[in-house]
Amino acid sequence: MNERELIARAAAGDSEAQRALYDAHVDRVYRLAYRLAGDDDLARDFVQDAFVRAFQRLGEFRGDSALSTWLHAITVSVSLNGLRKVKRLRSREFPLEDAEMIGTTPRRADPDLRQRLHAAIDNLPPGYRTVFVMHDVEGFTHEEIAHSLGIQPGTSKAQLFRARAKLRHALADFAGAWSA
Amino acid sequence: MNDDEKFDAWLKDVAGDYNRPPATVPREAMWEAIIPSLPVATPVGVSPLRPVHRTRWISLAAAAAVLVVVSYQVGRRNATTEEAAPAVASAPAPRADLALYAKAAEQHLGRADALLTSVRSSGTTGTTDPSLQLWARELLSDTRLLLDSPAASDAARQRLLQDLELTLAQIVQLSAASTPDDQRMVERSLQRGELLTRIRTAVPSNYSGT
Repeated sequence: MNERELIARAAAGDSEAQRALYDAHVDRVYRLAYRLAGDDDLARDFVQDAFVRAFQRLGEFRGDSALSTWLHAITVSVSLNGLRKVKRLRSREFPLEDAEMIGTTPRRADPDLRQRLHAAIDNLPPGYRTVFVMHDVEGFTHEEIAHSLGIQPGTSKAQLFRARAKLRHALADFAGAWSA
Repeated sequence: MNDDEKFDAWLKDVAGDYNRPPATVPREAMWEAIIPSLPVATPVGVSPLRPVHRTRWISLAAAAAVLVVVSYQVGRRNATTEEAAPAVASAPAPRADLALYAKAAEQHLGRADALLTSVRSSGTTGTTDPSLQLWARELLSDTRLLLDSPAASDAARQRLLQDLELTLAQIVQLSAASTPDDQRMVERSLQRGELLTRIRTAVPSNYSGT
């Protein structure tokens, strides 16, 4: 059964189709929500909320874009609204034992620098932060981001450029550390 | 490669550490919370409910609803005879009033969502934070007002308000001297019945809760 048929059945209330769609997309939706929230409880809330809203509106999905793109748009919207409601991001902690890496990274950032970087990302304006997280952290393309956020790909590129510039400025004290 | 390009390359290398999600996605736990809110198969010949168009007049109606709830409570408190209160409470509310009460309940649930999210995101300290407790106390009072009003005439909403009342009462009763067991009880209460998910389902997505 292809995704189009699954969507039609899920929209009609078929629980097996709903579960199949959930299984197909939940991992990436959770990753995105977690990257934006930085907290497991919040990420779970956002994912649950996003899927509930998505299933309730599945009948409105016209298939102009991929279902994944539509789901990511809902996830970003739910996450940003949720974070706005909390009105403050949790204070960050970076225990070194939690800094487990998947794969290998050629250069490891100094813990202080990394902490400053993460704080600087937290402090980006929401639009810049969302584009930065989606592109540089989660690997979305500018076209995917544009579809998810309802903006032009050029706007996504411009926001990423400005986000990086702000981060470079915020980390000016460490200038040169990335050249080493 | 100039310095800006080196920075961008370095950034992409280290950005993966930012809010790194756990390796295992809690699929089953999230799915269990989603199930109660999923649309179910609609019998043939029955049209699904159409989404309500929320227009500007609803804001005015909501304000009127708050007035109605407050007036209703003031009326109850000012009643001079014991017979007067039941007479007011048992009077069936007109259909238009029910819509206003429903809107007031919706706004109230939006505020409850904001509070409970704050409590959860603050961890164990959230339940004993004085500002959150004060907020919970105000919401508890409003929840009881709504439970006494025609807003609770809808069975599902009544159950939701009752569960919310229980959780808020637990938060209000906690203090800095409370044991971790007391705080875990609140956490369990939040998880039981997936209160937050049910509240969010009952609140429109564009409602900010403020």
